[in-house]
Amino acid sequence: MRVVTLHLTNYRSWKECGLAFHPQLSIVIGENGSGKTNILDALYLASYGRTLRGRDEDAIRWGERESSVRAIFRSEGGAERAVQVTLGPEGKSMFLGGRRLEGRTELVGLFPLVLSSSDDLDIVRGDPERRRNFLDAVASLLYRGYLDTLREYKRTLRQRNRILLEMALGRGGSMVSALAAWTERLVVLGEALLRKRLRSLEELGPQLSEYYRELVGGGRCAVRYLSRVDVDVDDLRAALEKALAVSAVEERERGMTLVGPHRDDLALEVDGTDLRKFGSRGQARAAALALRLAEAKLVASRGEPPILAVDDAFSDLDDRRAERLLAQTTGFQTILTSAEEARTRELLAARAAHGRVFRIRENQVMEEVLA
Amino acid sequence: MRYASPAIERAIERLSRLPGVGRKTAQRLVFHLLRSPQDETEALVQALLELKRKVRYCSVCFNLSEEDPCQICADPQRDRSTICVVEQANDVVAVERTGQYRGLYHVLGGALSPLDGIGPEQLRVAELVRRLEGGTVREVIVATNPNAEGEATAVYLARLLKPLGVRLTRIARGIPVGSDLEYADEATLARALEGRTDL
Ligand SMILES: Nc1ncnc2c1ncn2[C@@H]1O[C@H](COP(=O)(O)OP(=O)(O)OP(=O)(O)O)[C@@H](O)[C@H]1O
Ligand SMILES: [Mg+2]
Ligand SMILES: [Zn+2]
Repeated sequence: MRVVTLHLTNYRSWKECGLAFHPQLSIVIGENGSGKTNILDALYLASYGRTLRGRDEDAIRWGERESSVRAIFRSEGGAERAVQVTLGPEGKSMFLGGRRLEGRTELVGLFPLVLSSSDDLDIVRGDPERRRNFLDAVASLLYRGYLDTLREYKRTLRQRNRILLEMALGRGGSMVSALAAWTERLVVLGEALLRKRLRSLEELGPQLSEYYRELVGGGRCAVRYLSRVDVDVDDLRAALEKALAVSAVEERERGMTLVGPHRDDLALEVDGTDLRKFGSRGQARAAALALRLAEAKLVASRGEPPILAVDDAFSDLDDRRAERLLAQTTGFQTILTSAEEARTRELLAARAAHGRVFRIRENQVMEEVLA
Repeated sequence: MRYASPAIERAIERLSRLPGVGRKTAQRLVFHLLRSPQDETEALVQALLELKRKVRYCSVCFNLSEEDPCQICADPQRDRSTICVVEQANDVVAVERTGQYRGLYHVLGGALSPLDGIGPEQLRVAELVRRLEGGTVREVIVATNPNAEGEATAVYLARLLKPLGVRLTRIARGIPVGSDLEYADEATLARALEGRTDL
């Protein structure tokens, strides 16, 4: 998939901004606060039907009523399709071609985009929830219906937790007699999630290692599923039942379900060092990038290669790694941003890359073609 | 703002107690009624009064009905060996619309939902067990909604009723996950009934 043009009107800091991207490499250069991330944010909106940061209505340019983003995408086969998303006082409306879409789900997946931002450091270093969310997003790309199962699991969990809470408080009455039924549903749904998460990791792991090695030039990066459930067995259902049985007394005391997919985590390691706690910033950044590249590869294995966007592409990377990042992005249409003009130009000169540079100056975008 | 007429205020206040009706909508309704002919309003009042006077729960299946037992329970043509368990009376209407089902019903009056304080005692579960004690019923089709609450209710019923020796089936998941039976189209629901599996 490629994005051919992107047009922003009253979107965040931009009154008007039009970009015609290069089929391979586009680089947006501009000072801090010049609106680079806002451009990627708009691209994200056109692909996912919601803004990257904050609430949709916050993206309307201050003092304006309505904001719109238009994008033209081109598939591998050459078919072009136009997406328009409008944000206004009446909310959001989305159009594909001229047809108005019912909701986001109609849009998601049509124009695949994998976006890496500096927030991705939190996937490596932040709360387990960030890693679970990342894995859930990957699993939902690979498995149809995963999100439905996840949603039902979360709802079932809340329901079951209410019974446990009532029990912890010495109440519960007739609800308690239904605990076993809720537990059975939690196990069925939990097992389905576990299985798909583990399969996703099996595919993601090797890609992660490879991209990490190629970005860094060495080092073994590995990812492991962490759970109080024994996930090394074939019968995951029995394993989950057992883990629940082991925690049965404790969960009734604390009034919540203590084991299951909602409590699990990923261990990210480089040469055996746990990056969550001990990794350097550069290592964590490289791992975060490698995770996104691996995700892009998995998306490509299921259909169209996604568009790859990397915000603040070279920050936290030394020169060698920055050069290697430029080399790694081939195979995808790539859009990078950078606040470091001189350094970025040097990197581009060293790699003699084909592409297009968009230089932001005083709210204007100047376009330059690289040799 | 308040109206000079207490009658208007009273009508607005009453109407805005209805679910999904805010003060704004209530005002609109009141002014519509004021503009309508007298007999229109009287017919409406009559319809509402009859609703309360005539409609009751069937003491057998708990479907809404004007007779007790309801038309379905009283119909000698219906197959008494099968009971389809649904959450609400609306669901009976939905299943009947398919024209595919000839058995009886049992309306639970909801689904398990601890977050709303609903356990088995808040549903008509004991009444269902009592209906099975006669021995006439051979199959119970659990047609609760395909969402977290409906599925848990299905599992609860399966665990409870299995020992009674009836065949327990669950409608197939042809209906979009997380949706309501009530909104499934006839063909989909007919397929779901057709492709039911043992619980
Ligand atoms: N709704 C909005 N209306 C107007 N301006 C906005 C709106 N939302 C954000 N901005 C402005 O956009 C600017 C930030 O733009 P953006 O995040 O794209 O910068 P950047 O080029 O990515 O900077 P950095 O290099 O620091 O990451 C801020 O100055 C912010 O005030
Ligand atoms: Mg930025
Ligand atoms: Zn009846």
